[in-house]
Amino acid sequence: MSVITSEINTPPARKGADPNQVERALIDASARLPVLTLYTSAVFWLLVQTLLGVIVAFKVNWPGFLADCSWLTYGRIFPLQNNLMLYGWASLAGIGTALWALARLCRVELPRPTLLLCGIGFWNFALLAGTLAILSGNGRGFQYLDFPGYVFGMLFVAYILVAAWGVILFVNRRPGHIYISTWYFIAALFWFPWLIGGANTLIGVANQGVFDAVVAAWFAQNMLSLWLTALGLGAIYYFIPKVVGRPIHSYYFASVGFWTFAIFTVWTGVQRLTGGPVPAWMVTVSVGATILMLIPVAMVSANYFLTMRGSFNLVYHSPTLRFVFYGAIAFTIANLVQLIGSFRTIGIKTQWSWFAVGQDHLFAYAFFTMVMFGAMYYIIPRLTGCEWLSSTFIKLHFWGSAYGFGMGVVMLLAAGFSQGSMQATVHQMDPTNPQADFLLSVFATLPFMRGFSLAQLLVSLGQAIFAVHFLLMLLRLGRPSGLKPTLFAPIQEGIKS
Amino acid sequence: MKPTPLLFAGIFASFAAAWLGLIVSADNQIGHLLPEVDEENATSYPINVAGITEQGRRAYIANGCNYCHTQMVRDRQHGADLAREWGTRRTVPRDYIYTNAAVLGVMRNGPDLSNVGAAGKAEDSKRKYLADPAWHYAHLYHPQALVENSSMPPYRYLFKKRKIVGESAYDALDLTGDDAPEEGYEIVPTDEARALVAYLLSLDRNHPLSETAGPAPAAAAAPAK
Repeated sequence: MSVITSEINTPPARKGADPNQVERALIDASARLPVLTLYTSAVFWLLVQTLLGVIVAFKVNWPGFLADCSWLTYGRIFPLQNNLMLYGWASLAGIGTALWALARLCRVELPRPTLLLCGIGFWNFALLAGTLAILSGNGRGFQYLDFPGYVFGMLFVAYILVAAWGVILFVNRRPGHIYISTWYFIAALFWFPWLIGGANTLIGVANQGVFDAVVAAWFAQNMLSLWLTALGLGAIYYFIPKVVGRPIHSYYFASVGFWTFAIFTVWTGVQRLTGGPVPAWMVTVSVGATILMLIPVAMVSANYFLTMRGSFNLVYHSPTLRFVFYGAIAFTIANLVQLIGSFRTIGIKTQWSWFAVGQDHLFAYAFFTMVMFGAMYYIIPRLTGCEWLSSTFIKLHFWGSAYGFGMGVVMLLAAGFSQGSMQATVHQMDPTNPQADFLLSVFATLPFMRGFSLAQLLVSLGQAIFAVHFLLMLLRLGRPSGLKPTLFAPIQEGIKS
Repeated sequence: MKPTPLLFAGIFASFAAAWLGLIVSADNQIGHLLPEVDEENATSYPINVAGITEQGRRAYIANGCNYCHTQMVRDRQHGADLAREWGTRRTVPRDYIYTNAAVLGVMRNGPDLSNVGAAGKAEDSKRKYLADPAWHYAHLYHPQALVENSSMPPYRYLFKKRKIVGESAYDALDLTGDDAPEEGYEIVPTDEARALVAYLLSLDRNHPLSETAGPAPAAAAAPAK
């Protein structure tokens, strides 16, 4: 078993002198309650949406499965899973990670978080209300905007209560260099309310027809490629240098990458409606922006890759690094797939098929979720004062998620490509029944969707193990850290292979 | 070191630029369209529908039909929508000015429904059954009985079984085999199913518009004079 001292070279680089360790222990102590509450909520919704994901996969293969109850019909479970993934699991885990990392980066203790806890409670209440609304048939039908307007109003208020703490941390930060992760986290915290506030206000105004569809497509894309990506990249820039113990390779790359990301991403999204009833220039602009996204993606990819150069073997030892590195690679792949799918010749064969779902899964699961798992493996021991109980559990969680998400994405992309290719041209037109040919495109997806169901089962196995492990940590049933945990956990943390 | 105001200005400006350039301009261009009025024939299109059709549209969204069916027809450069006879022309923003845009959909696990109401009505239609509400009820109740190997889930919860009192209902389902209810009972659509089918039958976006490359409106107007 090799042991890595992971608290090295905190950006900005500091030597592990005693006052710094005391400071970090105090910061962790102040973040314990809010961040663990955010993580607990996130893991709860993760389990719910994982279960829904299994149901969705089974329903696709066996349409009659749980079909006779209106609350469990495919058209409600599928959007519910999307929304709970986004607002339940991903957003809460991302905000938790951002708050903890901001406290560390700004070197400020979290003030007494009464309102913050109210905010988290309210957020969970909003999710519950939204779940009931979708299941009872009161969803709005826009992808990732299915919750009714009042639920988004509640989420907005809850968000302000929670995100205000990020701003407080930033405003009170110790003077000095602002690390790149802070840019991403602060930008994400600022963009999210504009995204959900703006999109919901516009869609709430009735009878604007296709304009709403444009807003919804733009919103759906940017929830993934702006909000989740900014949080995920902030975490990648934080944890990779931390674990490998080396500053990021190029601050210049990081800076250019951030600004090009900020400028180009917000223009993407309308390519989801290529060929649809939208003015062509909007699609062209979005495709152009997707191509320009190559610049930030290249900058970020080069940066994480070169930062890790010579230390790739650490993924065998550090769960955090292994999860985060998987997510970082998935980030690069997700953007390349996005780019390929946005070209018109490919896009007409992939849009409105499982390919689009696969693209979303690449962003939300293979990239973001894996990065968040890595972050949680790093942060939670520092908050609970005990170490993860079993490296076998972590391994099982990793392989379940890595194979499950990876295989799920491959199956969805393959299913979507065969589905869309068959739909893009007419193969065997039966003059008496022009729809018969269409069914062939559905059959083409089925072998892959069987594989997708299997992948979902693997994922749920991994998540179940993770949830148990997480619960043990909450109950402080992990391995003891030995010394006074909250004070010394940072220096002596052993990361198991 | 980066001055903080510059960081904030950049974070704000990058988002604001795209917001103005994409979303606000989209609103200017397609957010406030009006129906096209044909003064010669005193007709206007599209028509704002209400009543049961509107209820059906709500049922369409409430049950997530838009997660497998789209309602947008692309032109010939973008796939085979027209070759599949999903419409006679591509759809344009003006087609949807009175429609909740959620119906545009995001997936095509099922066929496009932009013109499903019109598909069965044409004189030479190959799918005349689509004009028949009874076909839609039976299809919703058990899709695989009508379309072999269909991947559409059944919507039996949109129907109810009741005892036949006197004559059976005019829209009771004509079911055979395992689906048939026991003697003396019948399966009838609920109000939600009736509204949904009324909505589907109302879908017709083939009306010519000046901005589409389809048949010119003048051709349709000529005989009326």
